Amino acid sequence: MTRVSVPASRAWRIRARPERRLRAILLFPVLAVALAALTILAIGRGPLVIAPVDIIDILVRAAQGVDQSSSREALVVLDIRLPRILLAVVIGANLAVSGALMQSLFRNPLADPGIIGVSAGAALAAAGVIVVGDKYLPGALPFASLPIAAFAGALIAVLILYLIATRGRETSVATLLLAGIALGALAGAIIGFLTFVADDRQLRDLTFWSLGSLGGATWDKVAALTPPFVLLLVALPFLGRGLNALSIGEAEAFYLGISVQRLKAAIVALAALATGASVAAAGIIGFVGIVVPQLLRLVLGPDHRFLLPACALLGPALLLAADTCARTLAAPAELPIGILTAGIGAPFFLWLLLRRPAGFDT
Amino acid sequence: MTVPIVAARNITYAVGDKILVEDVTVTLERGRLTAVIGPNGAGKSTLLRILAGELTSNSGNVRYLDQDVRSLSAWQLALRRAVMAQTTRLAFAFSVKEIAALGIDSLGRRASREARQALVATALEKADVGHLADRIYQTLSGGEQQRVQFARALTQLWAGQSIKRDQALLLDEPIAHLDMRHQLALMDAARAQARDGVAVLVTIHDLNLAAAYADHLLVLNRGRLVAQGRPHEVLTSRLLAEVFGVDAGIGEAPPGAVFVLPHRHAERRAPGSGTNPKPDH
Repeated sequence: MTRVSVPASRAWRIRARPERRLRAILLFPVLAVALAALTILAIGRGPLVIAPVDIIDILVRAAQGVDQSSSREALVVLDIRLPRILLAVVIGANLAVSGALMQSLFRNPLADPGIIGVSAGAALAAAGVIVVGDKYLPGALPFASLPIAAFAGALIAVLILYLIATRGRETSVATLLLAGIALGALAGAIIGFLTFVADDRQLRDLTFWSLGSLGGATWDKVAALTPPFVLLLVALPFLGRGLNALSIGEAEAFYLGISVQRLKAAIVALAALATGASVAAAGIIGFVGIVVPQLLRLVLGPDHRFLLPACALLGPALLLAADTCARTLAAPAELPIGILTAGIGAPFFLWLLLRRPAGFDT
Repeated sequence: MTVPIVAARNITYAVGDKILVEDVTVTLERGRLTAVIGPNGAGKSTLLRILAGELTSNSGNVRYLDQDVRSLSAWQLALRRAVMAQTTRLAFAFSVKEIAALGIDSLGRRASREARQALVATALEKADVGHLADRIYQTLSGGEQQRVQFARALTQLWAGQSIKRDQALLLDEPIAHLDMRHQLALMDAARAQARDGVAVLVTIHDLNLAAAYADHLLVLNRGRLVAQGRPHEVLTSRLLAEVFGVDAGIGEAPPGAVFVLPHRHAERRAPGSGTNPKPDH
């Protein structure tokens, strides 16, 4: 058949400029090593500085099941810093990957889990618990009520949006986006009202939570975040091709053999779960979901088969670095991490927008 | 006659109370290039999307060989037909060869990396965009983008060919933005696919190219199939007046090869009277 008889030179030319693929192959080990190094570094930083060698020692012995409860260093590492660092890693990956998922669902690189109202729903539910719950049930609220409320709020928001935007079997992304903005504005108004009626102590809670923090990390929180995180990681290899096809349009993705409705439902469910779980554990941490995928797209190109795993490595590294700064820069006080991610992320993002080459109109 | 690759029987498609396609019966035969002509809004694209399985007709049915289109999953359909849509807006900065490779990413997983790359390269070459392989899609002109989409459709078609023999290629106004050389090149490539046994459907506005390339011509007007047959049987001054509202002559040279000449329009406009020519029925 004529189509198979390709001149050798043609096949060679296709492979002649493999920058993006090469970059991907180089980038993964670099990101992985950077994340590992950052993890060790982050464990060592704090009021009690611990040397990297000792940290590795403690971790190895802990992995072997050796009892280290007599060592102060070991207690600090295993009970205080490690859960917080794992939380940063998991949440960083969740936010970056769900950002990339939302962007391909909306076919808009500026989309973010926040935009379809996941964060707004979570924030409203949590603010409601802080202000209203505290007023009428003083002292009766268990500590866990806040994360559960945030998680439920996120899921309810997505559900409402999906009901609004889905007609028959078709989901209109434009309607979803507009409804998300409207819902976000409504939630913002109600949160504003709650802020207005809140007393000083509630206001402090509200502020700290809405700027996000990884403080108060426990092994329980890490355990609660693990199932959605594992689910997300397992799903990643199956999404790449479909998301690539979706990038050229929903109809085109269907022509290419993708079950578009099923893919979109999977994206929404995974992103809501990952974001909801993260917001529940650490509040709203902005900009990771936009900056990480966008930065990686500039380096790797938009191929989701490389982009998604890279997000799962760079997101954690970025959030871990931000959190380490948050807890050491103003020690013993702690900065809300949202200030750092937005403070660094937003100008960086603007810089990216300004320097992008012609043709990257996305 | 053998079973047609795609057969639509009495399909009607309406959105609300607006009927876009009404009671159309068409078949896409193996090895035949079918062209669909008709004025804007006649339902050409809608018909193509119904045949592609993207839209489900309100009544009637579409069959791929002996299977109803509704019983086929997205990837089963992708093996049986490739589609080039009218406008494609891209969300991210994919390169030209990445776009073309989408056609095989979904279907050709069993093929080796080298074989897949060779197939993509051939498709890019066929669409005359091989020299643009590493360019970012958004930086191309409209016509170049259209050729890249054609390359993607070819890639998908060929990727599916190793699995399914009887295929259709559906092209929605594939030459709308192309210069004359590339219009002819694309129609040549489409006809070459037909010669290889593919059932090809093209919606097209250029009646002369439709007449020159089509084995079979379908004429749609207001959602209805008003004429079909060989180009020289279908294209008449009367049809052009009734369907398109133009007053144009039909020439024939060489015998059997018809062309449309709107010279009477041009002549009537020449004195600068400014009045719109009305078709005389």
